[in-house]
Amino acid sequence: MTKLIETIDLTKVYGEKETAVTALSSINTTFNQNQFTAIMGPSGSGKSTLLHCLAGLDKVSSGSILIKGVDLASLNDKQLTKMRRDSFGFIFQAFNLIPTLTAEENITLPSSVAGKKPEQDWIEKIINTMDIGDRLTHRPNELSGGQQQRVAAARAMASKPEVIFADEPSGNLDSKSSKELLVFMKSIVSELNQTIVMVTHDPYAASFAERVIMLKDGEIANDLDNPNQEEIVSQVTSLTDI
Amino acid sequence: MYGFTKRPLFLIAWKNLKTYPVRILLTTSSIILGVAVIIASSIFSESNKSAFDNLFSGIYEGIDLVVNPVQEEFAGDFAGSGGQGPVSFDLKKIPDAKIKEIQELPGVKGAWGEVLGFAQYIKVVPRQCHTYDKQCSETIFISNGFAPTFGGAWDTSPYAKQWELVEGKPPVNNKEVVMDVTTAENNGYSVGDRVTVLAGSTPASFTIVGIAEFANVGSPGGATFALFEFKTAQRLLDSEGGVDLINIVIENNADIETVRGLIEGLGDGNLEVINAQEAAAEQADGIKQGLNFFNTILNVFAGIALFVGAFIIQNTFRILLLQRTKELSLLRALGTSKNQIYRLVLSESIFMSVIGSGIGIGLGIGLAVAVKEGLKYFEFGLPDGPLVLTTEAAITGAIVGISVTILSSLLPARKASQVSPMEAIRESTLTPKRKSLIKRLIFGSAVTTLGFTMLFGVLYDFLDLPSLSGLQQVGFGAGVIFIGISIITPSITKPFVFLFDKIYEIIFGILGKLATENSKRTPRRTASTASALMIGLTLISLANVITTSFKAQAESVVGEVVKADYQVSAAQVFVSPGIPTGLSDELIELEEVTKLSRSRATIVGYKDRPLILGAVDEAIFDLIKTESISGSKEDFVKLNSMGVLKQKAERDSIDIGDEITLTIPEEGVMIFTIAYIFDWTTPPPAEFFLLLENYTFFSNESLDTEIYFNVKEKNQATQDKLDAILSDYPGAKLRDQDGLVEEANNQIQQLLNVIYGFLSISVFVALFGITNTLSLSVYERTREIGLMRAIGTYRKQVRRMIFIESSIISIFGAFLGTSLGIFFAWSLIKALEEDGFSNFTVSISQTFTWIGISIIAGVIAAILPAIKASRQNILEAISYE
Repeated sequence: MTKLIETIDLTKVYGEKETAVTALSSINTTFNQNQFTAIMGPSGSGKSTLLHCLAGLDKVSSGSILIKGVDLASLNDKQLTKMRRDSFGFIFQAFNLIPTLTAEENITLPSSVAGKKPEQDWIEKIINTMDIGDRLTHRPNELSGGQQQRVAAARAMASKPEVIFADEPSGNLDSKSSKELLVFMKSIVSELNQTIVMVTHDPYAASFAERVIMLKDGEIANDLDNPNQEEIVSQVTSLTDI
Repeated sequence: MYGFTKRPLFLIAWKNLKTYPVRILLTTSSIILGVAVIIASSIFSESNKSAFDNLFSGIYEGIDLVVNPVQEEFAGDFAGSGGQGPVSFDLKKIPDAKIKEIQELPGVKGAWGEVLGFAQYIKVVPRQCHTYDKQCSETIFISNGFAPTFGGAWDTSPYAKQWELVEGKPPVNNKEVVMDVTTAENNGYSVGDRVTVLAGSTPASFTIVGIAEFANVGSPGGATFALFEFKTAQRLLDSEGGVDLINIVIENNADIETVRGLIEGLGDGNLEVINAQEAAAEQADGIKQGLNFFNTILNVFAGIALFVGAFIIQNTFRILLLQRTKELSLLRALGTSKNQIYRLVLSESIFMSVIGSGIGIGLGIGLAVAVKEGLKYFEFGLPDGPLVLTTEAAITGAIVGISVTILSSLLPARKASQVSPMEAIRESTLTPKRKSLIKRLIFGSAVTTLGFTMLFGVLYDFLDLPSLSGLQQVGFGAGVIFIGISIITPSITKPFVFLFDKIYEIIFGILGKLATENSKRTPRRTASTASALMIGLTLISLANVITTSFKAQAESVVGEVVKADYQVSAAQVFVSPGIPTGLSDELIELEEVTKLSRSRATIVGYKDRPLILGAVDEAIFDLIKTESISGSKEDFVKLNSMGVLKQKAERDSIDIGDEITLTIPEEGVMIFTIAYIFDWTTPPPAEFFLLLENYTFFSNESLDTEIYFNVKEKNQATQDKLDAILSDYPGAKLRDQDGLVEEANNQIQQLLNVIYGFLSISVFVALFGITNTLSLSVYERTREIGLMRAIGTYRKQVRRMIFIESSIISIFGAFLGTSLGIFFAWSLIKALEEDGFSNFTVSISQTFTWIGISIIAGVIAAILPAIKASRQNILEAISYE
């Protein structure tokens, strides 16, 4: 498998001197292409911070993040923005969509701001996979929560990014919609050869991933390959117990 | 022991303001500006008033009594008109022998005569001639802004304290002059220089022997002064053997009233003696009244600025409270009553109004200083003096500022108090509830229709409102339309922006789409922000169309009315009310001149009142357009026949064949028969006319008021020949038709520029409104913008999006304002149709220039919000509370 993202001694400290809080300390890991990875951990473990750093939304304090060998820290705002636009896709927990645009316009938004025409076949394929073909002309407030997240997922894929970052994508959904979304996400990886890095606190959501990284107090506590739900739950419990 | 807050809401209000100082600034910016204009205008006029007080006490410094000649009854009528008539008119003088007589009276310490008249410094600059071999030159009239140009006699009395030499010596012969220091400094003259002075109708050259200062202010009121040796002044200023007034200083132990009685006794009823100090106060008062008019205009513009400001405050308040919905509903959930919320919001607005008014007063002082320096820079001579801020003015400014702010916050405060306690718990969106705009549309349309009905009713004579003049009715109708449109705007925002949708999407892509969608999202806000701009633009385009139309009218009138190739008139009516007759004699001799008519005038008595009697050559009827009403030109040219203007004939019911008895100076009583009633379409020089060549008493007059003439061929050679002749008459001004049009246009343009200057204040205030609205809209959309940045929108693109949104608001406001302004201008001109205004011209280029300026200004107003939006921290924007 090809190495896509590599972190070297990744450290993130918030605040200064006495008030300094270490959110991430010396994270060394890699993320491979065409893999669905989940990052788990209790509140305050640094999982969201890790995702934000990987996605270039937050700056690291020391160490480095290499995306296909390019150090994120060496990029200026414009280059970083371009990287996010062309190489990354995003799914957030809520407020993923611009309320004034239709579902279709939201999906093609990244290519629109890039001034490029979206690849028609690809978009159609995504829309079919996400099963949102009949909602394209609707605005976000006319869509259910599940539909909104699926539109967000479709948008994340629309520009054929190298990697999709998902931050608690199913956090606001009921269990049925949540399952649907996760199934779709899994199929994105297996059928459309995408790469996903997802942050979640939900063992059920994590069980859809091929790899689960457990964080605790800013350090990697465990790295599981294809775990089932029970394994994850027991790991999470043991982390919280200590 | 825990603290107990006695006034918790007051505390919250105070903390809010302390935490968000920028909010105060944004909300109160418009109030600050409005108050500043009020204060500045007050300071400006008060300072001028006190400066004029100082000036007049300077004029009369050390003088106890002033002796004036008693003017003839009808002279007073002319003095009242400012003496600006086209006719030379002799004021009575005091024979200078009287000075000696007064000097010898008991109790009189000193007495000296003053000679005063108009004199003009001129600079003759050589200019290249085209074909004619004679040396050509151009005459420049030296003046300090709009201040008058005076000549006088140098006071040699040891008691005279008015003029003091800064440099040089007093004038002692008819070749010497003393110049005031202001004129000398402004024009770079110094002692020893030669200077040409035009006094009466012929210029003469003098040596500057001294530079003098008047009562420590350089020159009174910025006027230029040429001070001559006494005898020279008498000769030049038409005062041979006499003086205009006598200043008197009395002995310390003398009683002022006794001395006054003695002097009046000397004059046989021909002398009027006034108390100098009382006169100072009286004259200062006269000037102050004139300045009050200027002050009123400034206050009107301050009012417009405040009116626009009220719109903006209301808008800003509404948005601010919307942002705090959660906070307010939490307070409600905790048990705060609606009334308390209402008071909380109001107390915040009171805080803001006080702070805003305070800053406004400070800024007003700064503005006054700036205006004063600006006027000084443009040599607009007003007397120098300290800036005066009266307590009344400061209080008025503060009261107006505070009450406008509080009144504009009443509605938003009431709305805020209606917030439901549930809002705090609900997952809230910052978008306001979409209330239907249908009711608004219906009501607004009704008001607008009413306005239109009234306006058209008045214009097309099927409606007449009692107790209002035609113009007032038009103004009233326009006001109602304006209010109606203001009510409708929120409901037409969407359809209007809809027009942009496709165009903007094609030009700007997705950013255009987002911007148009955003302005549709909050139609009320977009509309009220645009309304603020609309007010300014309505007034600007109204002024613009009116003046463009007047210009076009002037052009067509000049073309239609003046048929002559050339017109000659006096360049400076103050200095010389006419043109020496020598010029018309020379022009008649010229072979190029084919037809010529002189206009002359003299003062005669008619029914015991003074009357300007005009005289013209027969050619006048071919050179300017006159309209025959009754009688005939042929009868007019006969001896003892008289022509009369249509208006005068109508007013006094004069008809053909009527006999008019006039008292002609040095000729006695003469009777004339009305033979011709006609309409003179340019400003006429008189109302009664005789044929010039029929009467010798017109030959005694030394001046023509106007000359019209035709030439064989209008070309450069002729022009040069005419210029050469004219160069001997610096007081005369030669203009062809283009020149006349240009002159009329220049005057209108100057007026327009002043109006533009004041109206731009209201546009400026409106821009603050755009900045406000956009920064709040950016604040509301923090999330959205953060998301856009996260998925790869450049900062540059975010900025562009805000700029596009701003352009929509400003185009909306500018479009509405311009259309209304053009329509109102049309109504106004239509209403003035009966007064002879028929031309309605819209300058497309000017209209689009102003729309363009509005868009650019709107984009400038968006700079700060755009930068703020693009610098937003993405993580903070997208993370949860």
